[in-house]
Amino acid sequence: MISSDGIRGYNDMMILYLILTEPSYGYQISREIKSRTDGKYIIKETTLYSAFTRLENNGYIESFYGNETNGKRRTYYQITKAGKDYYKEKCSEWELTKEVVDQFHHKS
Amino acid sequence: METIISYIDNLFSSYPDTPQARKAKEELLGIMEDKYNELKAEGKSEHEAIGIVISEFGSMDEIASELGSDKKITIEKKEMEEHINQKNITSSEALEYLKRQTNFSFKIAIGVVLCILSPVIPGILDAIGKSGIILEAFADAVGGASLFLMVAVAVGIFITAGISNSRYENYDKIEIKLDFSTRDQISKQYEAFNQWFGIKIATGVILCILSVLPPIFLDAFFKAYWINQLSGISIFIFVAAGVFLFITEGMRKDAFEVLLGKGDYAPKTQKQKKAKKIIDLFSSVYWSLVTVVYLLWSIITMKWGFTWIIWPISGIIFSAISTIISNLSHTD
Repeated sequence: MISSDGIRGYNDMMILYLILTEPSYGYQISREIKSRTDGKYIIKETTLYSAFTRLENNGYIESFYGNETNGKRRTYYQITKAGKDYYKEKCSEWELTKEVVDQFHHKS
Repeated sequence: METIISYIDNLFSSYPDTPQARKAKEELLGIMEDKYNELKAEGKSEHEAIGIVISEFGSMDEIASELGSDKKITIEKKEMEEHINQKNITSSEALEYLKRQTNFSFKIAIGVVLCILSPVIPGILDAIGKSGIILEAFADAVGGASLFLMVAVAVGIFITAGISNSRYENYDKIEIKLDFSTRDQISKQYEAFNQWFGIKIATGVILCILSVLPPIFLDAFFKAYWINQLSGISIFIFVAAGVFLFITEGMRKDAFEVLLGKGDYAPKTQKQKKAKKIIDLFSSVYWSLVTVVYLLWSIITMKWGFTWIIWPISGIIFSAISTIISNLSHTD
């Protein structure tokens, strides 16, 4: 398990990555994050929701209601053009961060 | 899932009910429900699934700024308790509650009837003893024993019924939340119940009034000791039948009202709650004092036949004072 503090700045990047090609909904995104990290990172529901609202307010994602399945209406999120640009920005920021932090990483 | 919903309801209850808050709640519950269903499908137990979902929920602080209000409303401790004092009840729990309360009311009514009827056997035996058919001392002994036996059985019923009903003891103190269809179903049952309620209570009252008729008529025409004795006993039988109706009907009505939040169990405003607290406090002091006065007065004067008058008078004074307290707290 990873501390949520350390990864905070990159939740947006993970979410955007998962909807780069097709829209997705809350639980699917949460489940993908868990399975892609082998359960090393489990995103909290409130973290996810606060990221959705922030990203949507900034115009990086759009939400819409999907078709009802089993009487349940899910909110889907899809990435916008600005969102894709922001994602690329985050990727290069991560490259830089990794490079910088690595300078202080004592490899044992 | 019920547990998760009430958990989320509780967390959100300290935030204002804005459109944003409702949206957040819906979305979060949606994710949690998906997660819960998948965990169940993976073969996790109800408890495990709920535990995992709640532990992975996170913290309200994280989304507080997205709830349409900058800060959590500062709620008084009292009001916080009020929110915690709500309980979601499923349809089967509600129906089970009604069934058990009906059952409970019968047990209590039978216990009370036993107590009321406890002097009947001694009375009959006394009449027989006095008429010389059996030895009077024997009649008195058996009669006395039967009185205590009936009271003992009644007490046994009260205790066991009370214990088995204790799991519902907080139902009348909390606000019960029913889903729409259950509420509708129980409301219909309540209406059907109410149609007969008045008639049954009236029957009870009539029985109590009629109880004095046999002694009045029989005593006017017959002077034999055993007839006077038996006509006196008939009072107990009439009253017991009336009281049986009062208790079973009254308790069933209470059970409906607890579930539906009606009558005495209607959700109360802050002021009403305050008034009720004052009246409760007043009542405990008041009745203790009345009891002390009654005992002192009776023991000093030894006029037990007269001092009981303190009870009806105190009752009238009490209801007057309670009315004044609740009116005062409404107007200020």
